[in-house]
Amino acid sequence: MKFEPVKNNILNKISACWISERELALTFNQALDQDLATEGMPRILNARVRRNISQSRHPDDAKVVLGANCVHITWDIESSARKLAHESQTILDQAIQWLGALLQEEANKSSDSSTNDLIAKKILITTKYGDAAEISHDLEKIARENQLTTAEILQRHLATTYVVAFPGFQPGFAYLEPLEGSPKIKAPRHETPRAKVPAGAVALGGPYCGIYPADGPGGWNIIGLTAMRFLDPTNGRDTWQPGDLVQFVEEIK
Amino acid sequence: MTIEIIKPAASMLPQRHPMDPWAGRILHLVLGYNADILECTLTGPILRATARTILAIGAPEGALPYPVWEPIHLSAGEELDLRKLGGCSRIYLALASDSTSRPSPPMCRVAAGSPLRASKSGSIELSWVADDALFSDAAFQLLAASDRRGLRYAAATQVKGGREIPPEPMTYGAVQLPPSGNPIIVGPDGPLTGGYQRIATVANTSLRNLAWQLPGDQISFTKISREAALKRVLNLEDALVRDLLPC
Repeated sequence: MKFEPVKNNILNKISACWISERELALTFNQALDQDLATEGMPRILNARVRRNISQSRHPDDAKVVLGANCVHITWDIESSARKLAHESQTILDQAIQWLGALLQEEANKSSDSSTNDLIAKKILITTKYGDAAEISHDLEKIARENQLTTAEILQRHLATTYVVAFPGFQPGFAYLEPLEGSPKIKAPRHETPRAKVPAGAVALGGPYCGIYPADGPGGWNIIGLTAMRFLDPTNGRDTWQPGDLVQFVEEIK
Repeated sequence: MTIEIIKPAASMLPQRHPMDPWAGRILHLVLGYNADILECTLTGPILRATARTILAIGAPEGALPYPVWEPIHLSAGEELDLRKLGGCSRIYLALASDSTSRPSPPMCRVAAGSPLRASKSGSIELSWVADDALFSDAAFQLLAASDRRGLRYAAATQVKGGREIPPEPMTYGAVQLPPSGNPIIVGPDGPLTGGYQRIATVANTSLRNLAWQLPGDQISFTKISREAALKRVLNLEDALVRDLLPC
């Protein structure tokens, strides 16, 4: 199947906004996925696109960080102050073009089924759950909020296959998104984040699941504890990538 | 090394991303690019020179009983007591590299009255604001549960809490508003992304002032345009060229 170039279609669906002297937020209009779907294209923000964006280098060597529906580009103030002050509009236009080109490349690839397959691995994460407060701090809170028992919450969580959506938060962390059709768990973040969440905490936040790579502050709901880590200490890189599948398995007591 | 530490600081570490992003740049111009720069938090050290030594201190104007942003020459046996940081939470200590060797790099001092010599103030400028919640209260108090990952503030009167958002990137200076209504300013060691609503960004030149705030200090926020914020940046950039006088 062949697709016409969608360049303008894509460009018009990215909105750009400076959110500091040096940080540009490029946000995907929610209609973007919908439009592409009606043209027979896969979700533009699929795992492969996210992988490409998170691994790509911006031409100015600016820092690129992916969010759920956005990409932020941050320039170094020391080397770019004058450019940021005098060429804001040009920088903004070029950034939209840069991201548009990455998405365009993806849209073109999508029409070629031979390159359409995402190589993904499946990761099993052995996790301790339990009534002990130091392991499952927020399991009861989540059960109450969903009007379910703690056993039912765990059943839903263990029956869910997650996909690594995008990296973030801390090195070694990934936002794990339930595959479509998974049982739903509501997990609003804490009103005030905890000052210390232990390393290895398996936690739910909004629609996502995640594993805290190190002790630190956090606002998600802790439901378990795992000894597994996803940061390669030899090179500081994440050992999982967008598109990888994740399944939690209860550690036998 | 020609320095002996008589009493260590509460925390004294080299930082790749200092809380005051300008301190390292200024001190490297003062003592030369090979100078080692340490971020001291809450208390500084007591130092004694074991031989003739040159160092420099980066701190808000008037906080310490020593000259700042210029070389300090210590003779053997002379001590420098930096335990009290004069009402600010962080100072920067620069040690000239191989300070007994000659010829040393040309050293400079920052001219009096230069904008590089800033004073601590309770006013934090914001270069982007998405929600006026921060202006509904006159003052926000810095809480003790703050560190380089995040500065936690308490609103004196109830501020309407923010909403949860799909995770988005965070940078040093991003102001998050959790549902509790108590804002958090993301620090240089803070999270890369976050799901609490981001309602503002601290202007780059105000990060210095943020770095100096102590738990218990009160701050208020002022909004400036991005253009004005960039002008302040360029003003400091110009000062780095104009106000470093050879000495």
